[in-house]
Amino acid sequence: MTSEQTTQGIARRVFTRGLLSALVVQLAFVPLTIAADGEDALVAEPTKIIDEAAQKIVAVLARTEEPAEVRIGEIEEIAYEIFDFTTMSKLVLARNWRKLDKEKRAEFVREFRTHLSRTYGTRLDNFSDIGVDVYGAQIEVRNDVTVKSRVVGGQFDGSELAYRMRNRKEEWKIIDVVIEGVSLVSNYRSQFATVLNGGTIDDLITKLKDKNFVVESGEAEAG
Amino acid sequence: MNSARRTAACSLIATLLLSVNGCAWREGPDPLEGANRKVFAFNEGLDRHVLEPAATAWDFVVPDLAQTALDNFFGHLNMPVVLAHDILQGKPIAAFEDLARITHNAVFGFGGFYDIATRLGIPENDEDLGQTLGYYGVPAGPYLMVPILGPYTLRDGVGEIIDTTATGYLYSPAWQSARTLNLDTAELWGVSIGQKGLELLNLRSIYDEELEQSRRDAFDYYVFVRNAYLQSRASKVADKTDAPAIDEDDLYFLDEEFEEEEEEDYDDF
Repeated sequence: MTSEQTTQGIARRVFTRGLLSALVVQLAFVPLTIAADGEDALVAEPTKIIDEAAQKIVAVLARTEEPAEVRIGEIEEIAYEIFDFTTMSKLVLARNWRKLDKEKRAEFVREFRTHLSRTYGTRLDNFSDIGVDVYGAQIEVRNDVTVKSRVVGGQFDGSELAYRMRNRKEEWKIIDVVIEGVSLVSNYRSQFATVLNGGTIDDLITKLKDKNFVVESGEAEAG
Repeated sequence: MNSARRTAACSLIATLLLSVNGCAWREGPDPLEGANRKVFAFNEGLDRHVLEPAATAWDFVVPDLAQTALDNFFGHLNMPVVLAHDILQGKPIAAFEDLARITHNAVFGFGGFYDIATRLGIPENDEDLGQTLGYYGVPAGPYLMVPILGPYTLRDGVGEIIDTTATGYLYSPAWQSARTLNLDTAELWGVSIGQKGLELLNLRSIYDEELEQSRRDAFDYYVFVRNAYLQSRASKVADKTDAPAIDEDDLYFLDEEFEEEEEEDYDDF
């Protein structure tokens, strides 16, 4: 009886003390929380865009009974809405972008966009059982925002995917995808620099077209 | 005698790292590109003619579940090295996580073949000597394409040799008692290399499709591999997966001239 009372007494004391320290902690972190709220407001929109797109794509991926072409089409549509292919093209070509006239620029953006959606939109079945957990975001230099996500389930369980977003013309769009610390923009930039070092922009565009053609005809054969 | 030899080896490695750092490294991440490309071509041929067929055969014979189990087991065998480097880098939380991972998978994961730790939400850390050296500021050194083994930097290659040797010594009592073999150093190396080979073959067969696709999609596969490897290692040293850790300050900045034409947009073509 006494021991029970003592236990209860200790429990109550621990509880009260816990409540008190929680309050103190709360108070101590009030300025921090406000700061975080300010940041939250800034990253809220890009986070929402990624989260919605990711959940839509995961839903499309899960509909394994439907033909691949239909689902690839749907995923491309979602991706075209949220990727800024013009900025991505500028970034991957770096100084070489300057040397292109308007027509060549348009051609490059078009082919690069096809390349990206074809290479990253194929082989859906490996991703049919995944989920995406969008768990955070942070502000970067130049007012970019990085939205962080993690793959849940499937072969690539636990893989980290980060999306670098930039606000252009009042719209948040993706300008880079960082997979486990490997930036696509950096990777393409280094490859394109090598191609352009030994050839012209026309060579690069021809290479892009060839690859896009092979992937498309390969899909036609498979389908 | 032994320790003297070890000291000599260490100082040799240090001198090598420092001297390379002093001269060739500044010319770019890949001062040995010519030689590296030749080794890369050799490795690609080897992969096409030996590794890929072997991995395909392996994939045909060994069920996916067994491949995953084996991958888990090799990961489990490597965990003491990871734990050591958690401690060397002063990361107590990671060390506790990895200690929990080792014990859970050893006891409840059938000796490491089943990864119960991940199921229980224990994070997996990836550390090695290359990362520990990087953590304390040792630069990566030149990029090296090693025959058969693939991409390394000088720092990470040296780290791998030492880590592999340490793992060999760690498990040698187990080998000695289980087989009542009296393995000498060379044979121990043989066991280590055999284990590494099986590990790579298994990994190669798990990621066969991804490898094939990246090879097909690349514009310059050598540069693709180099960039991906260097970025991946840099991000591991920095423990940062959400942004490129590689030194490329201008990556997200457009040329000044672009700024004037900010309004142009080719997305709608």
